[in-house]
Amino acid sequence: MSTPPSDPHTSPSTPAGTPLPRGTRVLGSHRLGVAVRVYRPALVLGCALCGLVFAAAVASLALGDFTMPVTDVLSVFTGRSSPMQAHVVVDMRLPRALTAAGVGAALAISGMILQRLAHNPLVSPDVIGINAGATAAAVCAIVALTGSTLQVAGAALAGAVGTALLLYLLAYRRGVAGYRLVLIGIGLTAMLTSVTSYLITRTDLNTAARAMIWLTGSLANRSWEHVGTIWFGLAVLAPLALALTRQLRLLQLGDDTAAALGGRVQLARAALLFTAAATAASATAVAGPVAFVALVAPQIVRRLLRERVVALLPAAACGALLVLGADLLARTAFGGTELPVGVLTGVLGAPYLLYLLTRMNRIGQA
Amino acid sequence: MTTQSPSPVVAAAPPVWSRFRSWFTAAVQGQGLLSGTRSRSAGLLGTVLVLAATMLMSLLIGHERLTVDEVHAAYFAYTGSDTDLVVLHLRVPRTLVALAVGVSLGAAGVLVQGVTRNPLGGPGILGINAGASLATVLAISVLGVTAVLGYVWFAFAGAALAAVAVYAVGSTGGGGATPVKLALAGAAVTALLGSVTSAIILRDRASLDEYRFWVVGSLGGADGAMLAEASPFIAVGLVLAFALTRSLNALATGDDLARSLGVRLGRVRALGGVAVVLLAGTATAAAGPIGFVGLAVPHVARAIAGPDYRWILPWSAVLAPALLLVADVLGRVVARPEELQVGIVTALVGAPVFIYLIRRKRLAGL
Amino acid sequence: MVCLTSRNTRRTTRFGASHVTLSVLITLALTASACGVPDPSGDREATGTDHILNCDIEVPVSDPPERIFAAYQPAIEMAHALGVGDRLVGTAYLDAEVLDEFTEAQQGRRYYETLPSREELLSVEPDFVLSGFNGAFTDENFGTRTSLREIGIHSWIFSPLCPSEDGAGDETIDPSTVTIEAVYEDLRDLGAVFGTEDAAEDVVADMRRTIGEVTEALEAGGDDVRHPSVMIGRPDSGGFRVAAGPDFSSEILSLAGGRNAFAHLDSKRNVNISTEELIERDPEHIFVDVCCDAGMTPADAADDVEAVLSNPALANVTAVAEGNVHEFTFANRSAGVRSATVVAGIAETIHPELFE
Repeated sequence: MSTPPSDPHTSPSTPAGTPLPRGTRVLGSHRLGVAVRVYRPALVLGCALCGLVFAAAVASLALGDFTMPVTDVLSVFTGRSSPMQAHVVVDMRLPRALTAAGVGAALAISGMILQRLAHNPLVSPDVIGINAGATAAAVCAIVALTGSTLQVAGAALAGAVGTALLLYLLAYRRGVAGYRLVLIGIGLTAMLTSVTSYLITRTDLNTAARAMIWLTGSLANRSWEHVGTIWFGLAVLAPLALALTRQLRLLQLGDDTAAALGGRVQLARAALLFTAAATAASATAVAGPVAFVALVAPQIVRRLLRERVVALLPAAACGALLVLGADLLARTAFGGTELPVGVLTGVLGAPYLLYLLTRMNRIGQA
Repeated sequence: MTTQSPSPVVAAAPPVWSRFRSWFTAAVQGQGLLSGTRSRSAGLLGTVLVLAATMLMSLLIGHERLTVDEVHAAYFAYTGSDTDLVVLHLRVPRTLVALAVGVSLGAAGVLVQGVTRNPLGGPGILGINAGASLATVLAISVLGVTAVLGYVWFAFAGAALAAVAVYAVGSTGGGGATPVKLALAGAAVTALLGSVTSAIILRDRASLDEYRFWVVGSLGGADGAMLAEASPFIAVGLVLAFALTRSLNALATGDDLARSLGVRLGRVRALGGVAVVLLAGTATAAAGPIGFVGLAVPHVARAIAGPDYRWILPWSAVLAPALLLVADVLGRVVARPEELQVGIVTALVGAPVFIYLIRRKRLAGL
Repeated sequence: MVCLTSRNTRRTTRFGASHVTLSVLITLALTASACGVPDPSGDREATGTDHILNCDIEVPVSDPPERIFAAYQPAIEMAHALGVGDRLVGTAYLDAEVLDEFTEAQQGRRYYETLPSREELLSVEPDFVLSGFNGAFTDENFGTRTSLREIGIHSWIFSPLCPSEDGAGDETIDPSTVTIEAVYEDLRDLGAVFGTEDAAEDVVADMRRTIGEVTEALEAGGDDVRHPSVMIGRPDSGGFRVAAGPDFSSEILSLAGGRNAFAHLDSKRNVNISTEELIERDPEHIFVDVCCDAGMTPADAADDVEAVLSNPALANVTAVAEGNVHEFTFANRSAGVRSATVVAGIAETIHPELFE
């Protein structure tokens, strides 16, 4: 009852070129025959994306406001560079690149789960209020407390998880429908954004500027602590997400079918929602709400694969690539000052979302 | 808020009411007789009284509490005292601007929801606030507009452009401007414009300093000149809005049926769009982006007065300024000696109403 | 005097444990840096090393920095005043034009409109970062002072502005400890760090003399001198933003023979008030403080001054009725080497009869 109207459209063609009803094919993806067909491109894509991520990370180590020749960057790893060069590469660029990759991966995983959960390709932690909750709490820590790294990260985490909980409770009416989740999320976002704006008017200009940077999403001066936080989060949550993908596939068949096939629909939904929220929260805690990555990365992967598989790992690699690339641009393209990475992902990602919208059908499915 | 007998009365009305009803509906809508008009009219009259009471509150309650005599004296026994100046130049303009802005937002919300058949329509969600914000920041930072009265035209133009963009994107593709598509187009445009806004203010401190106070929406800067500038736009917008109510009723039956009833869809949508930009754009220019009034109030009006737009519009246009005035008065007293900007109070009051409505209704069917 | 002030602050603190801790820390820091021994070199003896403690972080005095980066107006001007302008490898974040006497020296300096990234900071290879406020040493900007020290870059925050912990922001300070005496202390300490003690003594003597002349003029006026109420602030959308009790403005105004019309607002440095609140406080003078651009001068306040003067609601406010609305800059409100001349300027404006 609580599902949105079932979508009558047909899926894109399979690699073989035969149009198949969506249910059949996705169900089939569990069985060996079709699984090979579906997963091979995903595997190839995943490897290709990982290669690109590695390349972007290497570029991130070599480029920056502190200019040094590539040979010096290499000599850092052979231990023959100046201490300052070593500091810039090992204590600044490397942890920053690793944080960027982790944040992108986490956001993409979160987005992938939420999009499938809500049966809507345009749902992401940005839209349903999880980021807004993290932001309001973190800005509160910056404005009202001392705003140390630990406080801001902790507040963001608490804010994101708290908002997810609130969202779930508010959207729960004999189950949680994707539709209601989105609309209530939009309401929560507006309310929390208002709280954030309010906090920013209550503080001095320097603190306001700091809060603005944070709430735009920034990777400035991320250290090994941040690397530890985000990758620990991923280490715990990514396997959980992978383990839940079967439930996600079942849910995509519709509640009734999923239940008939032995899925515990509401429990699976709750578990998926909180996995997605926690993954997004760990990213937001270290980098602020980096816009649109959660939304765009899964979409890109889906378009590249031309399939409706739940390709978590390629999506994660794609997210990592997006954030790494955007951050590289953000810190090298604007002279001696840098822009927060979230500005870049917003400016680059929003047009893509608009493009997707122009290609959507009536109930919001591309 | 107290309202009287909201349920429609089906029984025949007594003669006195019948005559009043004819007069009233003729006055308000130009023509037409409705069943259940009696209680709707009486309720509306009662709500007008409530609005009048909130206006009186706004005149009397503030930094100093004034008496009715003092307000009266400012006009009829002017001595140039502090109290006289406060009444003439602060309280009265502020109250009237609140009235104008409230009426505009209420009517604009009805129009957006009616024209797009979208229960989530509202200036904020259609990107009007983000457009006005970006235009204002550009005015401050690029053109160096600093004077207190300088932002109005820029905000207006930005609002118009953003609304056009959101509607254009939302209505492209299959199925036209559906609720979710418009909401998401609004979210995307808002995020895109927001990113550009962040990029500007983070590189220009003076702009950040001005912007962070403008963006929350405030009536504190209201004055007579602003009212004089805004009134013609609002008047034209309101005339258009009332002229469109019958067409909106036809639109609510669906495009095909509306067409067969002789409604020219393209013209209604275009005129509706013009009216929305006039109303919401002017309101945002006058008081900054005030959230949720335009979104939440039409729902309340619909709940009270039923689905007929000839009733929804006047109810909304009366309830919205009442809500705005209550929020403004609350903002003046809760955080003394500072003022809580009215936009913050309306979002905090309005968002829960919105969420409640989503929980209650089955929006997917719309 | 500094000790007295900080103790008072501690007594009037109302915000619970963290602020008490904060006050204690500030008191301790002040005790260490200012009150222990009157002679500035005593600090070094007190810590038993050749270091000065600045906000609990050791800064060496034996090894004068050669490449200094100065962030924010007060720091840039203090560096020039101490005669180390030629050692500035970078400057950032001016709120207004630098003082006339430093214009030439500042012209040759590398300047960033906002704070540069940490990498950019490192690329100019500074060995010392001097900050006029403490927003510079947060994750979003240069990183914490400890992290800079680990790579051999020492740093200084104007000591009365110490945050409660390294890396924390502006909101965590207790600005009521910002007194003119604290500015002198910083000048002397930095003179010791930079190896320019004589220049520091000269600047302090200059500032003392300028303020001393104002004090004398006020005393010469005897009991007849009224201390008019003064507002420093500017209009913003919806009302006015004014310098409140804890802001350094209060110290400036009291030295100049006036009083802050909004001293009773003691929750933070800048408070937004409604127009009605302004009418009620009825200041006798209004200084409109424009901000924040390296080219700003008081003349940039002209539009806002005009807006205040022509606001019909303010017609009865004494400052407006008597035409006492003046152009001013935010930079003039900040604690630093310009404070003495600012005090003299305000005194001449609000007590014209004493300075003919």
